[in-house]
Amino acid sequence: MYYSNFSSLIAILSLILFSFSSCSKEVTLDTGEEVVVVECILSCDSIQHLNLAYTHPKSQKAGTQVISEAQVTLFDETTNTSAGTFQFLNNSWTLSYSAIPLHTYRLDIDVPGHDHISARQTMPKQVDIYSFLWWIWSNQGAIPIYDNLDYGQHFWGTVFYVTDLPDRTWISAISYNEAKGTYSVVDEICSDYPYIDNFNIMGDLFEPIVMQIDTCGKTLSYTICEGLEGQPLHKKYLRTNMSQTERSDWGGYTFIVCGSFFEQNNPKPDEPLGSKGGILFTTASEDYDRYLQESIYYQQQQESTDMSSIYMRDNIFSNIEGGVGLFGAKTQCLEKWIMKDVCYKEAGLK
Amino acid sequence: MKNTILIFIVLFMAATSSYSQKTEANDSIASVHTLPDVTKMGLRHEKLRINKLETNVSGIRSVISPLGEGDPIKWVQNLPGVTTGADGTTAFYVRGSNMGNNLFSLDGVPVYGYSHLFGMTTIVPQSAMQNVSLTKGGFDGKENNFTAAHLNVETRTPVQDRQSSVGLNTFLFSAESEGRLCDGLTYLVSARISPLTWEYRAVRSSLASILGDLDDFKAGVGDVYAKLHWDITQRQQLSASVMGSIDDYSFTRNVDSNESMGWKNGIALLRWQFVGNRTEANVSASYNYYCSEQKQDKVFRGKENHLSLLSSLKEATVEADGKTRINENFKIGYGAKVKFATFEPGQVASIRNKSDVTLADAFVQGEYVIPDRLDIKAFARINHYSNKQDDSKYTDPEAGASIRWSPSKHFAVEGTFDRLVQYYHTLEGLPVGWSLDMIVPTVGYVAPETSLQGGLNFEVNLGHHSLSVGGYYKTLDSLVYYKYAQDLFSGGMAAWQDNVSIGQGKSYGCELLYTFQNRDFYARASYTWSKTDRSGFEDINDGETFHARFDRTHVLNLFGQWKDFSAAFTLQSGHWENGAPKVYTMHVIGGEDWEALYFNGVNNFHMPMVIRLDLGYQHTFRTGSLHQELNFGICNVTNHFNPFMIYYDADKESWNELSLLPILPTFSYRILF
Repeated sequence: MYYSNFSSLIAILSLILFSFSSCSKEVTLDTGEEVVVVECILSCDSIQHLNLAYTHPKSQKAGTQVISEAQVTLFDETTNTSAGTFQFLNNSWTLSYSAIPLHTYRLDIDVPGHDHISARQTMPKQVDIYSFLWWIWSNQGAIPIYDNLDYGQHFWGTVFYVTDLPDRTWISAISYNEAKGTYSVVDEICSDYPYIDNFNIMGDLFEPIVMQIDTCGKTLSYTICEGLEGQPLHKKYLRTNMSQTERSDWGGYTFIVCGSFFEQNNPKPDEPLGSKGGILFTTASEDYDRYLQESIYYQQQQESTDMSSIYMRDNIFSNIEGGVGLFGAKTQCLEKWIMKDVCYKEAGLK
Repeated sequence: MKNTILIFIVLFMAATSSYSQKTEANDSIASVHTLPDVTKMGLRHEKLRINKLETNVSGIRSVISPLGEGDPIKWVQNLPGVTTGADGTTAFYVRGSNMGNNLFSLDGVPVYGYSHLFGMTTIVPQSAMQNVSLTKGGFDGKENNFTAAHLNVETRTPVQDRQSSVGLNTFLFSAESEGRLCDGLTYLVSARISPLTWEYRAVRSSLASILGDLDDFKAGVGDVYAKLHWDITQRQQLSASVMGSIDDYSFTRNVDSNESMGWKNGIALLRWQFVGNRTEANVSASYNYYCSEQKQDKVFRGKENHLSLLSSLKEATVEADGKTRINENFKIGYGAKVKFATFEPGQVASIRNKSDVTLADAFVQGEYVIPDRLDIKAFARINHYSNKQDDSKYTDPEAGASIRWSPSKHFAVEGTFDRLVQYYHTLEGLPVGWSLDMIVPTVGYVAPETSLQGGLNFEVNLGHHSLSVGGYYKTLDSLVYYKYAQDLFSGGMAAWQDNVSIGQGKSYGCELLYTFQNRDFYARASYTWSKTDRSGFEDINDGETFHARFDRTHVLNLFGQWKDFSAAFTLQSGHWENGAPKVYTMHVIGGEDWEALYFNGVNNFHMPMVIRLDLGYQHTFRTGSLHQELNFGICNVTNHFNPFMIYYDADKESWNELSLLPILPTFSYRILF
């Protein structure tokens, strides 16, 4: 049996009060009527996915009750044309359509026995991220490795460059486990990009990772992401937010992203996130961003305590009229975080 | 409806069984007259009006509390216009405001982390108290930076004869000494420490089933108070006092968990007072430090959680005020104050959230008095606030007026009006009175909170009986609602600015206070009927109106003391919680799914009524040259289950209510020599 933070404190307090009786009693809440749950995040992918289900009692073990009979259409309000109708196949609603950045869409849903459901959403702009390999990080900034003769004790890996990284861009590291064929979000992440807000800050600071590598017959010792030393670690996600900071000298940024990439299951030293993993840049629409902030917070509460229900005081953000859930939009870009073994001689160095 | 009827029946019985009294009461219980000065505070001295209620330490001492001895907040929680948070704790709400809208001060210096021992009591020791007052309306111009009520504790002037005492109660050991150092210079020193860690170790094995895998609990709880008082001349006095307190709790749960939390206060005050024939003056300087801390290292369901969260507030204040009598009926008050404060709320990792703020104010107040007939008071104040963090500046006027007219010695009517402004916001969390709620300053996008309040009261005094009935209407603006404030051990606090929502509040109600007093018997009944709501919070309930969490429609408190025996009974409507009987599945980046709770409203679940009966016995006696005070009591005699929150128990797969205070024997003993 485990106790959460709060139940432990209550246990202590009960002890203090010489508790001779139970301090907890079961209560029955009125479950009310079922509500239709909609979840659809538009993207530039060729197929759009939509989940349609009912809310259900928390104690119901059967879980989600999927709605299979409904009329679900997507309408492009920017061009005033229909984008298509979702089809229910293999327990899921799908539509072959690629959403267009900056277009506004309307989702219309009719479920028999329920009022009309609708939601609107505008796609965010597509972000261009440039990633550079074979660069090292020094006190003078990011410079090509072949310009640097001091090979030891410096970053060796990926530097990203952006000319415009909009607000509400979420940065996460996706690790691919080749043995299991599964993806997961790396637990700790940080960056020196200047417009990262305090979302999900953990309390720990990044400590550069010292690694050794054999190359050209030599054993080299080097430090991963030395330039990030002292940066606050965030749990799983970084979120960009310039709204509270003056944007000065904006002309593009080079920055590095690192975290607990090397603590995954048996990572290859040169591919810590796996062959299909990388740094995922997700630019969220305003509604999707708000939903993500709230849902990630509560999701992580559920992971850290079994009494997370006491922390929730309201529904997480929903923009569905006539139901609950989210109609969001995103653009994404997955950049590989790769370390390559490099030979001085191959790189043209002495 | 059934609850309403029941409350009215009890109220009716209380009101008809004893009728009316006199406003100012002196309780003279014969046994205490044989005691020296230090214990003569056993004489109850109260002045209870609807808007301002005052008592001395005797009134505080008679309160039956889980600690075994009363404290100012436990006294306040029995008064009209006040509702409580979790049963048995120090959480209190006045006239529909939030808990953080109250000002708790010690000799006029704000105390920000005033709770002690998991919220069971306050950090101010009884031995240092002289008078306690709660003002809910008709405020003075001197105090500012609050919008609900002012709870002020005045400390004692140390006595000339050297006296000492030691005491213990269920959870605190105390020692106190006072006396004369040299001509005109007296001192008072008091210290308390909690034996909670030892008590835990003593009962750990026998309560293993309650504690589960809780392994090593430590509590560092204590406080010290010291005061030097110098009578420079008959008209001039100088006093210096310091107060320090610490609440530090840590515990482990198996090898994967190490958690701690706590709060500290440090207060220093230097005050010069002058009392002339026509003029009174006060000049003081004070320093105030408050911080709270939460640390966590644990593994839960295979995942590591690390956190170190610190919040602090440092405040230095210089103030001067005075009163001048213009003629027999009219006097004028005036003063100015400057506060320099540094806030560092939610310090996580390299995040400091530092704000340097300055709050300066000046006031003028006029008071016209015809003794026993008319009392008219009005003040105006101007505040100027600046925050260097974002260069935000606010200049806000405050004003208040009250008029009290007594057409006869048995009857009085009083009207009040107040507009108040508050620049420090409290991000309120669990209503258990732990001083962990983060205090943050006003910034550009979180404006000062304001309240506008009007009230009308009637008083009847007939011999031993006194009855006051009044009504109030209050609006609150720029209230801060922090979505994650109930959280403990969360780095989300570092980003508090991103998660606050601003809205309004409204409260109105009727209050009744009845007291009866004769030689051996004292009785007090207070009843409040009120409605309180919140609205306009963009992120909460789509901006629609919802119940304030502690919108308790009926609050009835009865207290009776016959000789050494006392009894207290409280009956309160339940407060409001968020009940989420349904869930739905959603996803986040990376495809991870999670279960979201679905609420069909905010504060939509009405908790059960709070019913509690407490019994107490106080005995004072002399053995040789020793004077001894003994208190016994039982809190929640009927062991009534008074839940303060609901949660979902994943093991039982059911929703549960949680309460704190079971039937609890209490004890305190003090010996004076």
